[in-house]
Formats: sequence, C-alpha cells, structure tokens
Amino acid sequence: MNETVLLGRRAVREVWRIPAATIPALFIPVFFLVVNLGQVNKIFTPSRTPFLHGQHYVAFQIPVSLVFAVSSATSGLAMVTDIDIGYLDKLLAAPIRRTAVVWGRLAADLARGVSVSIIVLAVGYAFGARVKSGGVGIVLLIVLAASWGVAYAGIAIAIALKTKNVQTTNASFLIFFPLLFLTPNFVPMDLLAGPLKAIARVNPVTYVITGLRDLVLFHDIHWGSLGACVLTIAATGVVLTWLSMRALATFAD
Amino acid sequence: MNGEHAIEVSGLSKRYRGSRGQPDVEAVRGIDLQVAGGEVFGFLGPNGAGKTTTVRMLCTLLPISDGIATVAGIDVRNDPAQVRRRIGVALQEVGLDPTQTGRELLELQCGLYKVADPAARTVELLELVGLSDATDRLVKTYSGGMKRRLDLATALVHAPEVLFLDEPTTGLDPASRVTIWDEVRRINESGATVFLTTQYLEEADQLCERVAIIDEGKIVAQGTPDALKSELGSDVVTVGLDTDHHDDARRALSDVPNLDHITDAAEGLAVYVDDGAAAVADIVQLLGAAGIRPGAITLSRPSLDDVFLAATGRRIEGGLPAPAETAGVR
Repeated sequence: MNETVLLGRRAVREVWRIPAATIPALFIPVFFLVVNLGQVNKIFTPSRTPFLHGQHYVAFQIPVSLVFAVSSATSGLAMVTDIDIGYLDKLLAAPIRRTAVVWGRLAADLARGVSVSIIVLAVGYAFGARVKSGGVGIVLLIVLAASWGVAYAGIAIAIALKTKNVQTTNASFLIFFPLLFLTPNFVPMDLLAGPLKAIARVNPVTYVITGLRDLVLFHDIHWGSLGACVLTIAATGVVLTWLSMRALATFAD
Repeated sequence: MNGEHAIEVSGLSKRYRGSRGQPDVEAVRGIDLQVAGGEVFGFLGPNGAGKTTTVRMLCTLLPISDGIATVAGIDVRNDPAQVRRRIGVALQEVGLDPTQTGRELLELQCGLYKVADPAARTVELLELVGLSDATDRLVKTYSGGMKRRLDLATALVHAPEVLFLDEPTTGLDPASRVTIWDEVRRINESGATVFLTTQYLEEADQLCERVAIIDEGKIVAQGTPDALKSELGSDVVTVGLDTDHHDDARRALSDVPNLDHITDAAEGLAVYVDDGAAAVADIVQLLGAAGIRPGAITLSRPSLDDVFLAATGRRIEGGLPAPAETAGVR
C-alpha cells in the first residue's frame, strides 16, 4: 500500500482517538457564531438588509465559521508530538519518500476538515441558515472548506518542524485571527471602511470567504467568486505545503 | 557488502554551528571504526560522549560533517535511501505512537518497508517479543519494558542486515534488561550485525564481542572486552577502609610486591597488582604493620570501567572521581 495512504490512515485514527484535539477548534467558531448572531441578528434582518439576499444573518456568517473551524494548528501540534516522542525519527529512518510524512498529516486534515464542516453546517441549519445553491453547493462548501484546512495546515507543520516547540506551533493558529477579521466577515466588502477595505482586498482569506458565501446566498453558482476561492486555496496550499516540505528536508541540519 | 565489514567509518566528524557568536561544537571528532558482519559491537561511553550523534549519522538521520561511513557496504552520504532499506533502528527515545495499538504500529511499519504479508509478519514479531497478549491494546497502556520490546520489533520488520540499538535498556528494570539482552542475542544469531550503544558496562560485557569506547567525541580504546581488560595487566584488590586511613593506607600499600597502581574506590582503595590472590596476604600484613585495620577485601579482574579510567582518567559510571594520585607504579 502507498506510504502516504498508510501514514494518512494512522493520522486519521489519531484524530478519531484524540477528540480533545479537535473539539476546541470546533467550539471556538461555533461560540463566535452564536455570540455574533446574538449581537446583530436584530440589526441585520432579512427584510431590511439587502446583502443578505433574503436569508438570515446566520447564512452570511456560516462561511466565516467554516473557515475558522478548519484553520487549526492541530497537524502542526501532532508533528511536534511525533518529534518529541521520537516517532518522526523512526519515519525518517524508514525507506520512504519524506514528503509522505507531510502528505499523511494533510490527509488527516482533510478528514478532520470534512467532519468539522458538516458539523458547522448542521449548526447553521439549526439556526435557520440554508444553502441556496442546494446539494451541489453543500458538497462544494464542505470540499472547499476542508481543502482550505489542508492548505492552511502547512504553516503549522512548517513551524513545528522548524521550531520543534509546542507554544510556537500553537501560535500559528493565532496568526489566523487577523487574517480572518481583516476580511468582509461581518458585512460585504463595499460596506467596509477605506483602510480595512484596502487590507481585505489583498487578504487571501477574503476570497475564500466570499466564494463560500456566494454558494450559501445565491441559487446560481457565481463562477467568478468560486474560481477566485479555488485559486486562493490552491495557491495557499502550494506555498504553505512547499514550506512544510522544505522544513522537513532541512529538519536534521 | 564492502569486504567483511558491516560498518566502516573513517575520520567521521560532526560539527554543530555555534549559536550567537559561540564557537562551533564538535560532537564527534574524526573517529575510525570497523564492525565485522555478524558481530555484536558495543559503543561505550558516558552521557554526551558522542554515541548517539554517531548512531544518528550512520542511520542517515544526521548529516555527516566530515569523513566516510559505509553501512552494509553502502556509502551513507551518497546513497542514504539504500542504507535505510538495509538497516533497522531502535533509538534511545522509544519512537512509538501511543495512540495506536501494537498491531497497528507494526502493520504500518511493515507497510513502510514493503513487507510482503504485513499481517503475518506482525503476528510473528509480536510473538517473538512476547507481546501477543497485548496486540490490540493502545501503546500508551504498555509498560516501559513492553514499549522497548515493541520498539525493537518495529526495527526488525524487514529482517535488517545491520541493527542499530541506541541505549536499548536505559531506564529499564533489571528483569526487562535481561529480556532485551536475550532478544539482541537471538537477533544476532539470526545473522544480523548489531551496533549497540550503551553506558552500562555490564551490558557491553554481556553482549558484545568487541567494543569501542568513546569520550568527548574521540575513540579512546577499541577491541574485545577481554583484550582491553588484559591490557591493564592487573587484578584488582579492593580494600575497605575508613576515610581517615586512606592516606596512611596508600603509603603502606606502596610496598606491595608487583604493584601496578592504587586508586580510590567507593569502599576504600583499589589496589592493582599482577597476582591478586598472592597479594591479599601482603596487603593485610602491610596494613597491620601500619596499625590500620581493613574492612572487607575483595578480589576481581579489571572492568571496562577500569579500561575507561585508564584511557581518560575518569570513570564512566559510579561517580567516582579520578584518583588524586597514584602510588607504586612499577
């Protein structure tokens, strides 16, 4: 069997057996969703808020919660654990492609991303959100959100391999906070203040959220925003996964 | 394989760059080693001597700074991927994922080494290391000894030509240590060359056909344990004494016939002589004449610790300082 599949299966078993590593990453975005709704639900009503396109505000927020939930440092932290317990050495002494070590971890991120996205969507549905683009839109939302989780995981893995330190690796999750909030996460881009709008325009997370949001709010697929979302995920994935592969290649130096 | 050597090392060095203006650290300083195919070779030294660094270079886990190393006839620098196919590795840190079961970890390891029937090989190895009853338990529930045995099994999945064991019994209780020794002997009998690092002298004495002693990154002695001890050419008579009498006793014992030298020992003094049995009566007589009443007197052959002491002026274990002075050198 392919070594990436073998290592991916091991990482997925690990995710399943340590739910405590995933639950906090899920709890925080759901908590933010509930708090945000409590604060602005009566201000942004479907009838008086054009940018909701007839949906409840929760539908506008669901993409933010999805992106928040899948952008975790879990794989990086698991990598630090593998370094600490000496398991990474065992893998590096085996006759396998070293990139399989990273791909195995990313496979677990994909599995975790799919599960977490389904849960977040279920919470959104419970609060009244609906995915207007239907079944195809739901599948796309789950796949794209999980793919973003895989793409972003590279940063935590790279930091883990470079620093071998839990605290620093965990900080990669904190990097995501400004990335998430310097976006049109509460209101659409055209309602943002000037400086924030300028930052949001160059923030890749903006394009991920917007692409996912259009799938929730509109019946028809908006190919422009969807394409920008896919390209952003792909580009982020290529850059951050390359960084993690490079960190692994120079791990022993 | 290159000639008869399973491992051949020449001028092997490892330098770490000093951080923030600190000088470079040379952990291994141009060592030479030859390990014959099929032997159990002991690499002995105190903590920080360079044992693990050497093993990590030979296992392709650490880049070599200088020198040449071949393992199973393959150049470690030029073809690390081929070396990895031919070696098994059980490092000092037990490298096991605690969230997996023993079976899952071994089957995964078999898969990584492309073993033909991973399930059958896993059952076979779990039986070999006596873990058949714990097959489907998570590794985090294993005792320290069980983890060591499972770690050893993971290093054996592909029947490696050369097995590297880095301090395989450190931290184990005596019973578990003996179990690991038995496993190492069995592995060696099956044809594998074993390169074993240890800081336990008894372990090297029990298991190894030849040893090299490393200190501060340099090999200070190399040969069979018996030959190294014989080079010291003496028996050791350990004399129990009160601390107050050490200096007087040392002076009195300098007249022992055929004396090699005297060092401090935990119990009193260690007297190195050519014929220990004959010297005991002289020692008692000389101490009596000096008005000193000795405690227990024991006779033994020199240990590997004595070899290390002779080569470096320090002991590997036991915490004894180097003798402040020696007396009666012939």
